Amino acid sequence: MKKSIGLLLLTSLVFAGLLSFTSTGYKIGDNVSDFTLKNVDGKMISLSSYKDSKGIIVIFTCNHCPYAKAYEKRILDLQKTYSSKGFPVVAINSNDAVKAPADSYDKMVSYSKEKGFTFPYLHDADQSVAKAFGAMRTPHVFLLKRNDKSFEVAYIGAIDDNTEDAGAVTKKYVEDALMAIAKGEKPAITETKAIGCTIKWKS
Amino acid sequence: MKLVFQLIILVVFLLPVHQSPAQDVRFISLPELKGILDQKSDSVKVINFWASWCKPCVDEIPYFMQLKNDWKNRKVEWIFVSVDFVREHNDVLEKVTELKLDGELYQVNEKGDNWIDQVDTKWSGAIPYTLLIEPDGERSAQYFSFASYSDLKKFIEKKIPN
Repeated sequence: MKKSIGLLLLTSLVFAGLLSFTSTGYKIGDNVSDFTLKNVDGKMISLSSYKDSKGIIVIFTCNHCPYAKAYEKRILDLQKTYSSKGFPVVAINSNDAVKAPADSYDKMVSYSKEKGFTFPYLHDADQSVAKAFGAMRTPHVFLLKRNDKSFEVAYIGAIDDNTEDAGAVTKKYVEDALMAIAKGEKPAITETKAIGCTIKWKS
Repeated sequence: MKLVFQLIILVVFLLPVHQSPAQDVRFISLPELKGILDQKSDSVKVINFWASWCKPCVDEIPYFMQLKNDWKNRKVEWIFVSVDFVREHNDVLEKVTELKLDGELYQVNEKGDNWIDQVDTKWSGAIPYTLLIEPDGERSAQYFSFASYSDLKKFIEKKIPN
């Protein structure tokens, strides 16, 4: 009797451990805690400073990953189209600069200038924001919608269905979700698999 | 005398053909890739997904090459699939030459990202990714790089048929 209870306990612990590993981070509908990160212009930016936005297009991205680079123009386009409609882009780089020297803060500053980024490109130095969100890849999108004084998660995943060829995209996941939210509706697709390089976690 | 001369000319022209050609990297579509994965074999299939720009991928390839050489007589099929964008084919060829990458070499040519989910629903396309398929079709996968030659060896050797 004792042995089987012990075994059951052990099994549940392992199972719970596995569950927590795979399900940390925000889920659809979760409220997003405020965060403050340094932007490439040296200023600190908080989520709570976006008092008038209808939502935020949070995108975990980086300088070096070819999947992320393939989306740069599309991210600029999202900012161009939707920022004025109340949905600004906020880009976050959570990569460990030791593992990925191309993603240091200084490199972020020069990269942002070189690519003409028109949105904040925030440095998640201790990777706490990536962990809070459950970001795993670059790029990885978390579309937030206004919920009273804060934001809740409305869509998680890829920007669209074709990394390599912007002209051959058939499903614009983020845009479709955003337009649904703008109408006060729930997106038809709330989650897709984010395709990209793994976030480089600190050792 | 004329015949000898003609023979010499023939040999001179044929000489370049005797150099071993650079390893060929063939484009494959998702149906073709699935065909390779599903094909019945009495060997264990090692399918390593990599890219020319991926440092951890490039770092572990020497382990694969060493093991391929050590296991010349074992029932293992060595397949390498590059996920580089189609337009970067030359980068792939360069890297193959640099690494002396040897085996069945492919580069994905597919429209969109959906093929990734079709290979493995648990895979997000992050590389390196190594898929092991046993003769009976059973699959196991490693979703990150191998730290050493012995890690790679351990991963594969219990699956090799006698």
